[in-house]
Amino acid sequence: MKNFVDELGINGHLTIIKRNKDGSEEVLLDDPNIIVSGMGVGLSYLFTGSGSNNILDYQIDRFQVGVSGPPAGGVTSSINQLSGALTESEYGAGSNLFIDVRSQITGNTLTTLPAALIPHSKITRIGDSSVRYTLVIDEEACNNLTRESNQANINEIGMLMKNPTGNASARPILVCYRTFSNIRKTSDFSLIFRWTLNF
Amino acid sequence: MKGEVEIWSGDELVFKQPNMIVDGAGELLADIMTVSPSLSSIQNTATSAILDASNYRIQAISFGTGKDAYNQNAHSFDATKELLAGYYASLISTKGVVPVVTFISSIENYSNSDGTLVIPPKVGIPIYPDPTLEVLEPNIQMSAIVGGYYVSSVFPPNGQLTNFMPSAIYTEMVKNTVFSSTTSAVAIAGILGCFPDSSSTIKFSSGDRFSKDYIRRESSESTPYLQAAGIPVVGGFFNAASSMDVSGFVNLIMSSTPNSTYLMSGTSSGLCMSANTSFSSNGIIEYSVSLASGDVGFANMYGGIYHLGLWTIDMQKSLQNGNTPPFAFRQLNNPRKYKLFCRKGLTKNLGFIEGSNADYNNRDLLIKWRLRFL
Repeated sequence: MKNFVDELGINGHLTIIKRNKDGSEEVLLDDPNIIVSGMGVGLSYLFTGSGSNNILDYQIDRFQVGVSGPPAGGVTSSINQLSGALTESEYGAGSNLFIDVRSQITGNTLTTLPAALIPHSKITRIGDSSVRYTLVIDEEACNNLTRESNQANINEIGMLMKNPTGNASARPILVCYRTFSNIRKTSDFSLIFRWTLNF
Repeated sequence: MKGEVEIWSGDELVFKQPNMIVDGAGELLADIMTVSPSLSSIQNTATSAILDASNYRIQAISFGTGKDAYNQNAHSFDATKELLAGYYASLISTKGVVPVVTFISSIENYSNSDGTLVIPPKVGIPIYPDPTLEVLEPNIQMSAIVGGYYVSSVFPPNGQLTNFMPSAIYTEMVKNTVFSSTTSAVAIAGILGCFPDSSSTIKFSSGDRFSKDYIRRESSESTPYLQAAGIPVVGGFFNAASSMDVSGFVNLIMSSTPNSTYLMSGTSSGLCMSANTSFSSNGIIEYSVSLASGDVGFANMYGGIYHLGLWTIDMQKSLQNGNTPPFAFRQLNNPRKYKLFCRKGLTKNLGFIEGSNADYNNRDLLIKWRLRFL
């Protein structure tokens, strides 16, 4: 039997735009994404009344980027964290991103991971059941990354629900995910992720 | 399949099919994702109550039938009946009951002569499964006229079986309307139906009318149902528990969560929600409600039950109607306006009875509706 998320038809579409300093733009990706099982977990907490009593805790309010996608096991709906999520410092001290480090729900365990908060002004309802998230990695963010002395390129991104369990200290959960071709981020350009979820 | 509906009669599973999630579910999720966080900073109880997660959960179930049913069966009312309207008044004054009148001509295949409620109602073809539906049955028109006025001009159909029969409801609903006289009020209650009061309701008997039986609740009956012979006994769960509002929405009254040590309320008291302790890994949530034999039998006289719907609160409509959260459920003037979340269309009337003549009885039914989130 298919589950609620599948049959409701929740799906997403991600467009990645590279914006250069001179204002020119280049579309790097324009493809569907994966809704992962965290969406169903979060909604289960909501509909059973077992999680947070504040509806804001069920909102998607943060995102992560990583450098190790796709996951070794392939891109499936069971993914609960990025393969190589950036550390807090890797997001860049001079960027406009507000980084929040929390214990993230990763299956039956918790993993301390940073995520960039999405300003509410960047969350737009574009239809009766469609919401668009505009995520900006500015020129000062995520630049010239290295891991173990090797170049590390951005190639995965995920968005997270804030705190469905209602824990006193927010415990986010990954709800959608997408890998893409390596992007060597430098200060010459910013990246704009236009992520549309259709519920 | 986004979920499944099971209907039980005692230990017998009489129905099991997948349901349909409608567009309202997607709209609800989009609502959730775009609620402004700035509301939390406003120091006002009503405003902050908008953020209460209970406003965004499934809160009600309702029942419906095909649109043609609303012009026939016990929904019909014509001059012949109106001539007998005085009898309505006498019934209400002497017996305290609302008559339910069904003409033989409105019954498809009535053949049982012993006055039982074996009614294959006329319903036409109920609406086909459509995820864009916002009500259980759209485009209902009622032609019933009482006292020279169209009933629908004051009480427009809302797409489902309504709950006007309890005296506490219909006497309030007709106040300051053209139907405020006792006779008209009782006629309105009898036309709009559809679920028996907790005390008693009587079915009219005269000439070519359908039955010669009185239907009433007998408190001595531990398992009341409509009987083929003698005095049929009927009672309704919904109005005994005051769990259904005038529009026909049965309220969510209790759940086994968030605290698993809570006792489940009886499903005869309203819509119940339950989930086991593994809900976050199996994602299964069950909604259950019981219909008394009287609820089924009466609904059958108003066209039967071909549609079921689970509803969430429509925050925008509730606010636009001038209501202030938190929205407490009320039978009359319910501040909760609802948004259809998922529905189930039945190919067979829930009030359908089959069996030997001696067994022509409606039974209590238990509806179990499971949603799977994982």
